[in-house]
Amino acid sequence: MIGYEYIKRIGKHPAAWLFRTELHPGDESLLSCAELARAERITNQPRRREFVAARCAVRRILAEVTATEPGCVHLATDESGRPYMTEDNRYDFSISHSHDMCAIAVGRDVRVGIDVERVTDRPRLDRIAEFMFSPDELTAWRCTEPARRVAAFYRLWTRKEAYLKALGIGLNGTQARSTSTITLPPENAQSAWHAQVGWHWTEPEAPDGYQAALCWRPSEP
Amino acid sequence: MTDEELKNLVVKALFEVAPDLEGEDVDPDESFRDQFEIDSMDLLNFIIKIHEATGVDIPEKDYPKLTTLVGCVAYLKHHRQGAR
Repeated sequence: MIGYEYIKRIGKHPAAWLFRTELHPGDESLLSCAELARAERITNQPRRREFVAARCAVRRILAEVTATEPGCVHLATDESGRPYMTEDNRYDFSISHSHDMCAIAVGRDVRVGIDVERVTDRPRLDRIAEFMFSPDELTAWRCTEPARRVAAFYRLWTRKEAYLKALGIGLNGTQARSTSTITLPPENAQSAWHAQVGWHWTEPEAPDGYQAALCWRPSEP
Repeated sequence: MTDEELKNLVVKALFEVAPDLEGEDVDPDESFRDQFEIDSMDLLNFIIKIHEATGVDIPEKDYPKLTTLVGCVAYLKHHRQGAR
């Protein structure tokens, strides 16, 4: 059995795991040459350990889901930088980590994105919101009562980031995204939006101080 | 601003948004993501910080040009003229 805390599975919908990253002896032997090379380039040791631990975890989880061995899971990235499993394209997965917390989602015949963030009152939160949120989202967020504004920021950020990751649009990649032109449905209208375009959102329960969101839709036939 | 001053400004902004990296050597040609596993929010915060420090408007389509130290310096050098 894999030792990661399992948090959600609904029918054939994606399963998600949320856990603190932990490196075990010999873990690096699970990584591909390309991943090892990338790990070597991360000079900050805590960040390097988090990267290696997350990559090892995703191999163990994919191995369990697909009934194989972690060493037999081969990963590659598509043009947008989105990772995929080369052996079985029926499965889609997404990884996110924030400090020592890692979130992984895996689903069959779905497109999936997950995000986890440590909730902190960062400087320039309002400016970040201006860049990330659409005008409607920004207006709604600014109407939130001040005591709940930081939490509301991370709820919207993680839901949006999970959606963008599912789409394969990433700020960190070579492709810029127009995040402020994308508006998520208000939470009270998500069922209507789901009926229209098929996307679902859930918020996996995260430890205190963290916020997570999972987004998925069935794969195109 | 000289290239060296721009470089120092960029590194200072990077360390401000990711304080745990303070004192790390920054490879000028390696992407911040590959070198430090910078996440989306830190990268956005970094770009905002650069904008505030230089006055240079950075449209979203240009974010990929700011993923390395060399790229940041070249971009700011080219665009600072227009920001004055």
